[in-house]
Formats: sequence, structure tokens, C-alpha cells
Amino acid sequence: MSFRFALSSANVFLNIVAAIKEIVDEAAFKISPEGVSLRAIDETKMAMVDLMLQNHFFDEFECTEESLIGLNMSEFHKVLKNSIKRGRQLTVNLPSSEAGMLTIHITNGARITHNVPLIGIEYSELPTLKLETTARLVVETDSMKEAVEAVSRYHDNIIFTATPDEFTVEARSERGSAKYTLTQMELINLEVDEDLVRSAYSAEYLKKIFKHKKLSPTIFLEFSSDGPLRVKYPLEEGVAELNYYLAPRLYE
Amino acid sequence: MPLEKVVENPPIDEALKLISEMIRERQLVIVVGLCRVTYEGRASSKLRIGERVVIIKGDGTLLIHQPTGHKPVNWQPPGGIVVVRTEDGRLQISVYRRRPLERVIVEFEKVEAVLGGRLKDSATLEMYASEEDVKKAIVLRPDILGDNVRIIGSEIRLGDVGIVDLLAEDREGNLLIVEIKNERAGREAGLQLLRYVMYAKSHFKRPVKGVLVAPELSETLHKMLKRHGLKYVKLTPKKALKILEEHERKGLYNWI
Repeated sequence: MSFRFALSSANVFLNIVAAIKEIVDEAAFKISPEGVSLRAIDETKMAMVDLMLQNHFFDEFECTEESLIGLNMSEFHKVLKNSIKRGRQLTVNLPSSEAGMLTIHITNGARITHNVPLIGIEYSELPTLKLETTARLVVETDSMKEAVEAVSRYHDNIIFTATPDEFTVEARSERGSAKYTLTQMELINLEVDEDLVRSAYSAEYLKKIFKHKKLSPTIFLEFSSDGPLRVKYPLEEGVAELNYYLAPRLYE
Repeated sequence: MPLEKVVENPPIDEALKLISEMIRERQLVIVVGLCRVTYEGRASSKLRIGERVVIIKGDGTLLIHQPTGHKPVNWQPPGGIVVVRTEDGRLQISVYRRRPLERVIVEFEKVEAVLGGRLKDSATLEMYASEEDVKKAIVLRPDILGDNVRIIGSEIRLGDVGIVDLLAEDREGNLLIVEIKNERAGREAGLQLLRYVMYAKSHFKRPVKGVLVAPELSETLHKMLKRHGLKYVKLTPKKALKILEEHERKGLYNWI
């Protein structure tokens, strides 16, 4: 097992790990000559995170054979957050000077080196989701965060409705209701294949998904009636992206 | 009156007498007080002293609730054996289970309240499934309508006649018009379905079959369906909810 990669903007990696740890505490990165990927599903099977970073996303990338790197994401995030500030470079490599560890160098003139313990994770390849989506939109990450915050006070079930003209986020209960509407004008893009596409999702998970504007200020959303939601944070067109998949709520 | 006894701040000995009697009579017992909890089973755990609500049901179910949060901090399913005693001036309520071998001991330093009574509840979830829920269940499990049935659409408008709940297709190529009711269906449901089927027969160039989905039918409707060659599929709200629950439990695996 041996690889090495470097990113001149360590912040990006910090934000990626922050996004992963929302869904899973422990996960395995797959490092191969093609790049770095990670696919993990949470224990409730409701949410999945799918990361793809091709090798040319990195400033330096060396990998001779595939390795699986199991890490505790919360711990990994704490380690990175501690040392990463804007403008610092990140280098990650294996083997490290200590057995069973991953070495991380964070540089900005001076160098901080961390050795992070690898954990044994039972890895089973999660297959890709078969999604047929009938509503697709491109929206500002913050708008979605605001929308969910605003309506979730009424109910944990957040209803997404898309028509060819607009997209709404709403929640209803006996205590009242709220609806957040984004028309074609307010969205970067809206494509809806049917007269009405509607599905409901858990507010708790949506809040975890929409907090990462530092990863990308705009996101791609896709869903179908009573189908899973896909949220794509693009990092570099065709080269790097982080996807979230969220199962729908079928009933209250 | 379901609550037969409500006692505030009983001394430990009195609480012992009260609770023993209520347990013997298989009443629903609620004890509020300052307690410690010890659990022994495949693992073991201890909960330090704190104020909690302990519920013991007539079937041996035990629930221990802290002042906040919705999940009980400890619970035992029905079938447990409940033993009440005192030790060193403290009230001990223990619940034992055989398979797996488990024991929960709740030891009260102080009992703030004891409530006991016989509550009657035979209602089931039947009330809470909407027609929308029943429809979703059928969309998830089209086999309810028959072998090799494919759902083609929902809420489809048929001219001026109305809106069809579900449109499906069976293996013989027949178009299925599906009308859904989440409670006992009467003549009106049959007439509605008949109207849709007649419209569809005259407007679509393919054989059409009508299907009524309901938990039960009136005798009149049963005869009417037979007379007109319409099919009845029994689906209760309870079964529909079960289908939806199972589907949700699988989460994203439903799409993998």
C-alpha cells in the first residue's frame, strides 16, 4: 500500500471531510491510480455520501496500487481543522513512519505533521443508485439552507415540489405551515419533466446536506416523485464532485 | 375511570404495598421518583441517580424515561417478570427476562408519585392511513393488483368523468383502472369505477379492466362488482402502512 497526494489548497480537503462526517463517523477512502473516492451509507440507510476526486484534481498524485484507508471522520476532521488555515498546502501519504498510520503534512512555510491512526473498516462496495429523476435544478447552497431552516419549524417532513415554473420547499403541521418558493427567475436552472414532481425528506438530514457552501456555493439537485434526492457539490467540472443521496419520506 | 389510584409522595413501605398490588392485578403502573438503574444482560450498564418516570404495563413491558428526549433510556419488551421489594429503605422494582437472560433493577431513593389503573385500548393504526398512503403502498408493491402488473400513472384525468387514482397494465396488456378507498366501500365507489371504465373503454383502443381497492365492501357493492366484471382487491390501511414502513426501513437500498 503506497500513495501520496498533495493539494495546494488544504481548505478544500477540510471542507470535503466536514461534508463526509455529517453522514458517517467512520468510512474508507479508496485510493487508486485513478484518484480518491469514498462511498458510504449511514446506519439508518437513509443517506449516502459519494465522493469522486480524479487524480488531476490534485497538484501532485502518486499511487501504484489500490489502497483502502479507513478513518474516523470526526477525528480526522478535528486534526485537519486544527492545522488548516487558508493558504496552506496539504500532503497525505502512506506508508508513514509509523505503522498503521496515515501521515498528513500541512505546510505554510513551517510544517505540521500529523500521524492519524487507520481503522479497520469492513468494506463492501456500495453499488451505484439507479435513479430516474424528473426534476433537476441548480440553486445557491445558501438558498436551500435558508429554505429548510425557515420551514422546518413546522414539521420534520420537508416537501419539495417542482413544476416547470417553480420549485417550492414547504412543511405543514397543525401548528401552521410555511412555504419557500423559488421561481425560474431565482434559480440558476430548472428542468422539470412532468407537470408536478413532489417528494418529502427529513429536515434533519437536509440541514446536514445543505451546510457546505464552502465546498461549493452552488449545488445541483435532482429528484423524482417519492424518489431519492441527489445533491451534487461540484468541485471541478467532470473531475471532482461530492454527491449526497437521501431516501424520501413516504408518510408522516 | 381508568386511573384507580394516584398517590403523591408515598413513604417507601406504602409505595411497596401499592405497587405490588397493582402489579399483581396487572394494572398499568407509573412511578415517578429519584432512582438508579442497573441493567444486566449481554452487556451491563448503570445509570446514576436521577429523577425519572418508570412505566410498567400489565404485560410486563418496562419503560424508563428521563425528563428529556423521546427515547426511553432503558426498556424491556412484554413478557418480563416484575418483582417489587425494598432493600435498605429503598424501593426496588426489577424486571427479569429469560431469553435472552436480562435483568433491569430500578432502585428508588424517593417515590414522588404512583399512578395505577386499567386502561382500555383496542384501537389500531387502521385510522391513520390516508388514501394517499394506500396509493403509495400499491405503487411500491404493484403485485397487490396481480402478477406482472405495471403502474403507468396516477391521478389521471379522464375527460369530464373524473380523476383516476391509478392506471396500470397487466401481463395480458389490459389497461387497469384502479380506484382506491381507505375505508369500507359502498355503492358510490362502484358507480365511480364503472364510469371510469366505460369512459376508458370508449376512448382507448385496448381492453380495460376496473379494480377497486378497499379494506372491505358492502354486500351491495360486492354484487355490483360481480355483475359488471370489476375486480376487488382487499388492502387494509394497516397493511398499507406496513408496506410503507418496510420500505422506509430499507432506505436507499430500495434503489440500489
